[in-house]
Amino acid sequence: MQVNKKFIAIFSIVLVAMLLAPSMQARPTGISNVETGCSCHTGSPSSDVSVFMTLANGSALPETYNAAETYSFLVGFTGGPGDVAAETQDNMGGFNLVASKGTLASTDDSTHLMAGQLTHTDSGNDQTSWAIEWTSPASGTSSFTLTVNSVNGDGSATADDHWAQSTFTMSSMGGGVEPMEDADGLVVLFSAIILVVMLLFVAIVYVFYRMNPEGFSWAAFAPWIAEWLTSTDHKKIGTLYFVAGLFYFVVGGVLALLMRTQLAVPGNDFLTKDEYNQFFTLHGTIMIFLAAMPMINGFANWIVPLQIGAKDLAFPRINAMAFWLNPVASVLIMSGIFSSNAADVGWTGYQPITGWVGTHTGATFWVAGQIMLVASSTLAGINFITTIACMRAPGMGWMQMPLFTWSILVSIMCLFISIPAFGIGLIEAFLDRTVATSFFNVSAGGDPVLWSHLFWYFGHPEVYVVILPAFGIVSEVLATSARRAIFGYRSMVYALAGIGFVSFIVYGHHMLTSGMSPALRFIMMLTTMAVAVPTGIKIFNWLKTMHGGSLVYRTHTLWALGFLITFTLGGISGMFFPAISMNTHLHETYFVVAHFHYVLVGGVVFGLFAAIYYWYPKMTGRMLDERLGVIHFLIAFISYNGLFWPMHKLGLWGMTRRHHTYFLQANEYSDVIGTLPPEAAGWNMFITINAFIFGMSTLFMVLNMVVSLIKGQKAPADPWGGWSFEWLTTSPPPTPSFDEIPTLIDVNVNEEKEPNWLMRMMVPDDHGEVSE
Amino acid sequence: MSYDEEHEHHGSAWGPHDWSHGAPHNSWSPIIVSLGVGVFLFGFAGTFAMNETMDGTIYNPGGLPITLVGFAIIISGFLIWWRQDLSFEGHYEPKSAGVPFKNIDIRKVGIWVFLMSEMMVFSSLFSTYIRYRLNTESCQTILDNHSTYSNGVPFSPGDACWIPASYFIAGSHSESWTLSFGGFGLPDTLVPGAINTFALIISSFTVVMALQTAKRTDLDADVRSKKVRNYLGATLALATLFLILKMVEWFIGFNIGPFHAPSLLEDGYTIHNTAYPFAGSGHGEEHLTANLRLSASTFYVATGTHGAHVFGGIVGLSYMTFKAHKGGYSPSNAVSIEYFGLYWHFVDLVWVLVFPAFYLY
Amino acid sequence: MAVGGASYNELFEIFWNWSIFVGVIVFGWQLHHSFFYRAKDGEVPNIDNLKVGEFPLHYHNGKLEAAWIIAPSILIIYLCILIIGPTSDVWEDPDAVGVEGVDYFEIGITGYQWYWEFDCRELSTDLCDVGVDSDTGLTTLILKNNTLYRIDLTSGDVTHSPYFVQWGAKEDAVPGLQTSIWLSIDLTGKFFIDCAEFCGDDHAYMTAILEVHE
Repeated sequence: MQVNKKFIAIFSIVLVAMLLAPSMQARPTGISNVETGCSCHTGSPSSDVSVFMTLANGSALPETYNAAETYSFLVGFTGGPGDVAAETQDNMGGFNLVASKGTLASTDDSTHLMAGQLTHTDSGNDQTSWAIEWTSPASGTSSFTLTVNSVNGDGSATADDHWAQSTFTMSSMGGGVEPMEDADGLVVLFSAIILVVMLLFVAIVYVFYRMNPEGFSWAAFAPWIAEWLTSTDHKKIGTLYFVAGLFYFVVGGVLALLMRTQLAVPGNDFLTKDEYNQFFTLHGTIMIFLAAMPMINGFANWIVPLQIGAKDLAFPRINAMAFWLNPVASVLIMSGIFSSNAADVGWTGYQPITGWVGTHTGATFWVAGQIMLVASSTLAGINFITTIACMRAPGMGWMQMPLFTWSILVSIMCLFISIPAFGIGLIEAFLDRTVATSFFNVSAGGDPVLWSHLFWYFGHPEVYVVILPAFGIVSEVLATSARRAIFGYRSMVYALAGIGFVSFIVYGHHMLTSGMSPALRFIMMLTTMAVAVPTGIKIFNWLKTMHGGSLVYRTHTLWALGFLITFTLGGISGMFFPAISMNTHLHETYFVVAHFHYVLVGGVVFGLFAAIYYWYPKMTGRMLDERLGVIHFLIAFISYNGLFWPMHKLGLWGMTRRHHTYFLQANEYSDVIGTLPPEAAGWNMFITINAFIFGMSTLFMVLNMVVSLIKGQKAPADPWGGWSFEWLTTSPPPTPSFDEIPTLIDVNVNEEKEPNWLMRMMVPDDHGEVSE
Repeated sequence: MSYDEEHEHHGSAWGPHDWSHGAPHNSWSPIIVSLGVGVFLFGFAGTFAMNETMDGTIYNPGGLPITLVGFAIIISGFLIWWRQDLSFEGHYEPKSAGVPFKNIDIRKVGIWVFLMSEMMVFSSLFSTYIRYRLNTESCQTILDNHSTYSNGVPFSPGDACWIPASYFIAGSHSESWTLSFGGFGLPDTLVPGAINTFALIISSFTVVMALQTAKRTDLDADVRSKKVRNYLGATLALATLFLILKMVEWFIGFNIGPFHAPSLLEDGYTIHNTAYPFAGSGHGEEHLTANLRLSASTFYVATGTHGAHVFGGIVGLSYMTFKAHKGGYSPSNAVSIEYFGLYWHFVDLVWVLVFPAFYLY
Repeated sequence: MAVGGASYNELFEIFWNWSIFVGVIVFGWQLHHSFFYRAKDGEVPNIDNLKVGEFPLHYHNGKLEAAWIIAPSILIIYLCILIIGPTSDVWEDPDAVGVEGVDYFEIGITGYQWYWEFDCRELSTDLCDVGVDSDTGLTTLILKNNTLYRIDLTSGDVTHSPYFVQWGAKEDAVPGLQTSIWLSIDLTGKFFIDCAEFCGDDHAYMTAILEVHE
């Protein structure tokens, strides 16, 4: 019975939290106990005290107001012990006034604003009426809640002090029609997150219950959850990474949908500019650092040790540390979002706006959170580089490593070498914002462009860090689906390494209009063009892999083919940026937004979707439902292109990113006219609709994953017919992942020609040897 | 298998590990340390905030306890980590299987990879330093130029110009040159830095001695442990001396017998100083009112990051000295000292670069 | 609607055509292979005899691989040569490269949160003037058609970036640094100057008008 009580308790807490969540924002704060009088005076409401609120000249409050006009009011009370105290002119009373609409203002030192509410000051204690001002809103009915205290003048809060409350209303001249309450974006987000957290908790309990429905007991739940919190097993940490990444995909996606709603029509005011700025900052940071990177780390954790035939990663505890820094950092990064005080600087955190005093305080925490993510990435980097270098199974030389492992190695190397620069930049920015050092403070001689260099020296490799694993995934998926060996394995590896190397010498193309030296811009322009060559090799190799093959269509095959289309489009649109004379037009427009979403969503996310459908059976031991998968692919692929393709056009028209709204040439929506042609409004609406469809299509995948976990078909060890080691163990694999370290057989061993100098360096001498 | 059984198999997530099998070991340490770091940064950002004019700090004492709690959580997380590691006797030292690190301890590869990242950390700090040092005009040049910049713009009081820390530490500003031996002089303010350089170099030696002693098989276990402990203790003492002298140099200063040196704080070399009267050399009473915030920020953060690495070493050394005291090091796991030594030599090497770049130049 | 400068339009067209060319090849190839080489229903063949735990036989062709290293490289080199020329339009000083007979006029723009401040230096009101637009009430910069201007940029607070949409020209206005844009005016009418670098709350409203007269 105790079990039920606990369950009911938790359930009711969840329920209450969900009910309260939307109202938190609206709840008046600042002065407590408004309903029962000012907090300093107890007692009960008294009928001796009568409350009045009039215009300043003493005439009664009008029923209607003119929009955006400032009114002078007199508020006060008569009767009660305050009249007695009138003789001494001391401690006669106080008041508190809340207006549901419009803005209250104080006119003299007897009143002041506290948290948007008007109340008396110390010196205002000695009055029974107060003069105030109110600026009316554009429309709607405003109700004024006036609470007064009538005090006997003895200076102590006693029951013989009386209080009273009354409500007055004024309506707009346009009539008393109350327009529908605007949805406050923050409340929507807050509720959504609370809801998701609660659902997550319920899901965790449910997952635990499903594992052993008969033996379910709360007593066993604690050690089970403790096991997850303390585990150093690469598979468990991989799952944790994966779940955290998926969770933040939802959060980042909700932010994106709110932004798209704001942009659906020109001149919209669904979100305030302040909220919009926070949302796009957090959307970028979350999607890159808290969604894409953890998802990739999740797959890397799961698959790399399995592919190279290792029992676990080299440093399991450091691996756990690298994960747990993530959720804690995410709290810091998100902090301030509920009080509308989160970072509002863009994910690039350009200086000097990040170090500027007018930026929200949340930016400090946002920087702090990212410092933790830098630490996390460094730890993960040590782990993966060491693991891949040291723990390959016998027979697996560098040139027998599966391409996914190669892609992880190259991407982690890029990350590892670049991220300390970002870390140092962040520490400098953090100290600027806390102890007021002056690294990026222009008035003290600091240089904002230095931040751009430190950031993009990391930032450009970073985008390759997220895309390279997708390359690896597609290489695995396409080859397995086509039932062929990957075409040009060696050139694939060299292309990966080439992209990794080039990533460090092209970062300046993000700064072509930043005031960087022309010589450096010129060099970066040419190096950036060179990125196309290794990327082209990969695309052609993938296409050639299908040649003469026998493509088995599964959901992951579809995603890989979809990836080829979208990533190629993204790659082609990328070719427009390095040319400086085009870049000056396209930089910071929606053309850029379209380009990097084509590469990051069409590349990374499609790659990750392919990986989910490809490796889910290995991870859980259950097959995913193919029908739901195909529906997911079709809806998502079409709406994805509808979502991002029109953005190219918007960018060419000159629609600038990071603007919370935009205006058309025609003067029809606002007195502020803008640059965009009238048809831009239609396209923006089209984009928003597609954004919602794309967002919702992901639910099919989540549904698929949940349903399949419970009643999916049991998965065999090698459902797709791949060759690498992860298909050797059972699905799901045991702990440690291999009972016995396997040995890789290379069927090429007999026809290997005399190795050249490079091969001699890369391939072990005991090539193919079985011993150890 | 029930959850209890599985749990037991992994050993305690709090306590000493059973190193006899290679299975993953559960640990509460990662989640606790991560939480601590989060609380620490949260508290720190709540305690200090730059002021409205961005040239000073608003100190909010209410946040300090949170910062300290965060720090305590981090330390307790590490204590759990070490408690698990204390039992490590070298039974389970995984070796690398792949080329080019064949048969090398995996931990050794890991520490080298880690040092690679550390090199990038200090490279970035040096980049910042070089950027500002080379592109900010030196106050001395402006003074020599009759208070004009080299492009002819007149210098106005409160403008930023560069006064290197060496001006206060080793340059003409340090008037007392009492420590001189027949023509070779050492400014007093340079004394802490000079001692520190030797302290770090000697500590690199003592840590190697600890390693070498721990590897000796001709000694009794008791004698060996004692010697190892003493060497590690000496390293710890020298590292602590380093940080103490750093505090002396930055904040306290000294006035001992014939030696008088003001701290950099007393000299006015602070990150908030917007009006330092710079007299330079060779211009008598003439002086500039210089904003030296950038110069000071670069100095304190670069040398401070190095100091933080020394502090990290102290934390690690405390554990190792304790373990040595308990007789934890034997020839079979002496390599653990080597891995710490790699890090320690790196910190030493960085100092060898930081010292001339920031203290002498 | 003309958006972007002359060199932008010219380059964009070339790049656009090559994009279509590359796109047709890649997508045509992919479409053909994904339908032509698909497995028949219920058939799960194993062409290359993939086996778990066995690194498969290399499937490669040196000549083909070399071909698609060399062909894109040639295209890239060709495009690189194309884009080098117009680069000089963006920042090069006609004096420095010795172009004869090119007169240009210097004006200044300073960005503030959230407005632009125009500085006509010593130019006559015919060449440069600052006013207020009667329709919108926005600050207006009035310039003369068929004239080359060099605009020196800086900022009084955070980084901004004036964006002359019709000429596809923008450059960051960084505090403590002077940058410049070359603006070769070749259209008359009223145009917008937007801010293209995120600068805080009213970033979207940081607009001014450029009015060009004959």
